[in-house]
Amino acid sequence: MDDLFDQQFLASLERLALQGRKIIAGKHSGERRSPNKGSSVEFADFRNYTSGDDFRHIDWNAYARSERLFLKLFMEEQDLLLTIFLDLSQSMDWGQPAKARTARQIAAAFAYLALSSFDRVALAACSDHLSAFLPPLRGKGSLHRVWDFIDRLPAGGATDLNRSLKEFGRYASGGGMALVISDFMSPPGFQEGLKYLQYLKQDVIVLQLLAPDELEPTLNGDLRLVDCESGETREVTLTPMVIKAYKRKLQQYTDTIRNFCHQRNMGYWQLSAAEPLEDIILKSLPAAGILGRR
Amino acid sequence: MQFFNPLALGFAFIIPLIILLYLLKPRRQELVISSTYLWEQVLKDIEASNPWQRLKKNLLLLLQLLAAVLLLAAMARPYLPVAENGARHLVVVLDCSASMAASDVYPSRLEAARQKAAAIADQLGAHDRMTLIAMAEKPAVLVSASRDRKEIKQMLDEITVASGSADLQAATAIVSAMTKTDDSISLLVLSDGGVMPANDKIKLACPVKIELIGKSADNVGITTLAARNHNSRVLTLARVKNFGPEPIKTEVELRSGEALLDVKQLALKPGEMQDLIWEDLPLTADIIEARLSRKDIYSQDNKAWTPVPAAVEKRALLVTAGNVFVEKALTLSGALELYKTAPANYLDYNQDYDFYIFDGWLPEQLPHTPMLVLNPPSGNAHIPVQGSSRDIASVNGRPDEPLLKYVDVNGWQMASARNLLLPAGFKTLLDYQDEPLLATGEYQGRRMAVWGCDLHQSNIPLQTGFPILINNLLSWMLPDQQDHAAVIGSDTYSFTVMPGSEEIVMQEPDGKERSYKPPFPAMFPTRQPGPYRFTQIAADREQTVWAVKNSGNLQESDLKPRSIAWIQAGGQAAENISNREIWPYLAALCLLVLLVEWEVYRRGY
Repeated sequence: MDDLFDQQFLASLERLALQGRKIIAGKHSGERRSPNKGSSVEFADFRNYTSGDDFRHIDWNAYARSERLFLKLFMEEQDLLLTIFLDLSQSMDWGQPAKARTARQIAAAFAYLALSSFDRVALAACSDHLSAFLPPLRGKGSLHRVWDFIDRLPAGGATDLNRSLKEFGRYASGGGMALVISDFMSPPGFQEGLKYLQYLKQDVIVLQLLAPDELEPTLNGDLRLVDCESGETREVTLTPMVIKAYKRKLQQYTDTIRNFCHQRNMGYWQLSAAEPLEDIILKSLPAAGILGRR
Repeated sequence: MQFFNPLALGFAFIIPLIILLYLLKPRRQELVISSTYLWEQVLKDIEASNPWQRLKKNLLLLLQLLAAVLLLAAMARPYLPVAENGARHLVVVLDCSASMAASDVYPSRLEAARQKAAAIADQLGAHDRMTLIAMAEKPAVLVSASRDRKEIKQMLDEITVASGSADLQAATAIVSAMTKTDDSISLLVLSDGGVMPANDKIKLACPVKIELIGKSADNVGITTLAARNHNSRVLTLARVKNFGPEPIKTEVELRSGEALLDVKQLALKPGEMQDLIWEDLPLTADIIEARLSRKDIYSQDNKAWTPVPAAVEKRALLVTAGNVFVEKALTLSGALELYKTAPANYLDYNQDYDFYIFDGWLPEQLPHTPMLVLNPPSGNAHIPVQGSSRDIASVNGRPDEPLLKYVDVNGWQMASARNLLLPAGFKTLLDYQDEPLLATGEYQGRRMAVWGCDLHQSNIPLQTGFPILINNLLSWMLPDQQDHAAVIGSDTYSFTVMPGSEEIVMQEPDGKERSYKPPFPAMFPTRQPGPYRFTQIAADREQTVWAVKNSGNLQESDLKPRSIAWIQAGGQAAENISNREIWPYLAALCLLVLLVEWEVYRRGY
């Protein structure tokens, strides 16, 4: 995995930060704003003084004006738990280049980005169930362990995002950010799984990764299409009209995922596996508001 | 509905063959893809969105079956009996005169007429007949009352443009004779209207339709090209006429062989004719050619040729008691070296002359050369004379006689003339009340002209036509030495063969040579325009005769399509049941179905 990222790219990554849709409470002090008010230099609000409060935070100027005790509240900076859900079903191992390869690279880049921001990173591999889970790790020293985990994850099996994401429940402990990288070719659906992540107080970001041949099929003639996961076949005579209908259907499906995410305040972005990683990380995702300047 | 070719229905096996091809499942290529998840929905959507999908699946099959059925039906040539006004025996007279070579109708008038005739042949019913007459100087019946379209078309293909004018009167005479025995005839004339004028209105007892071919009259042509040799210098005359409706400018090139002699600019108003004269041209070749630079719809008359007469003069002997008129007229042409003697001094054994003129006297034994006999005496052994006519106030001349070209006989009078009993084969040129005054013909192998009057007893020598007439007679009697003698007027040419010739080699304008051995043909074929060289080879000598064939003439170069109003039609076309073939419609429909099938396939239905 090391050879995939050169120093220049890694330096670029360090200037980026995850842009969560919600402010989620963490456990340790970090670089990220927490919904908890605490001690930092950034003023957040006032509240009435109650017994037991730290009198060092009383605003004496306000007391002089109103003869009432107010407590100054400041933003507390805490860390973030980023859980990366990596779909490594058989369908992700298809395409030229394979979607799984691009997905692993994106996951590795996000892990680097989070660890270098003193955030914690957990990794979950999805297929028809949650096939592997790496508990949260913190600090740049854990980088190689994370990358090694990503590298060793096997690809294969069917896709069931609902079941895979729901199985994350037994590992979840508190809120965080969930990054789901998948082609979303999940016949049982994906909505229940994503909703369950939100239930687990996860700020969900969805990256739909498709192969170039899925976006722009170049097939033609009388074909027997074989599903690489299920082995099911469909006989089809591909004509320009059928190709057009496929593109329409893909657009509808993409719209369904996007609308679902937007309605539930989840981040969504569609990526092509043929897109260079640098473009994805440094251009597409910042443009989508998923990554931002630190 | 019946079929001309029911055997073609045997090809119906193609229909189950097409169905069989559809029954055979196509070999599908297997392809592993990431997921059939979306494809399943796509196929469901396509089927769900279209209730006619089951039909659409077989739309290509249906269209192909329809195309096959239409094709089979077309091959079987179905026909429908249709009642129509039309003759059962159609006589098509196709003008193939020289003017039909004009290209104002693509590709030519003749080709357009040929295509029209072929289209008419295609529309003939099963029981209809067609007669095809090619109309040139002499009409020729190419196909007579035939039902065989193949034969009709084959003969149509063989028609070529002739060099002369079309004689519609002669062609309609054939049709007129046919109508006497066949009342189902109707006549169709395909012509540009440029035909020989008829003397009287022609009445035909059948329906007549005249279709005029051609639309333009834009033509400039060389109507005359003549050369005269005078002391080894050549005098040339070219007569050019603008037959078109617009004023034109052109260059006239004069060539001798490959050498360009001169170029003159010429501007002509519509209908104007101009003469161009070149004097003192050097004699460098046997043939002089004139060319017009301007392109028009009839290129044939943009070139003309003329032979250059040989400078050598012929020796002629005038045997007369004294006739200054004839003497003067004979020397005018400059082509004769004239000697004169009195009848008393004439010697029978003196045969050194090329030409003899006997005036008022004839020897017992005639020389073997051409001769002009003036006022033959009574009781001579060759041209019998029976009495005489007196006070001849008017002379009749045959208008179509080439030897009377440019000769105006009005006002010719004579006090008396001998009544000639002409030998067989003689042709009368001038007559008075059917008594021949001037006649020409071949007498015992020599050309002879006989004039029955004493010129001193007439005003003829004082008329302008007299020297022209003498010149024309000399042209005919000494053909290879005179101006117009070697101009070919039709598709054949004849000349007096040199005695003792063992072979004649004819060189055509394109350079091809044909060799003829005795007995020589009376007529040599001369279809192409241009110069012809006839080399006569005897044991001890050779003699070359040049002749030229020019396309330009006042009749055929005038290309303006003209209606032929002098045919009067009679009778009504009888109602007739003809068989209308419908295969062209079926073939067109088949083509349309195939186009739709292709589009359906392309769109992927």
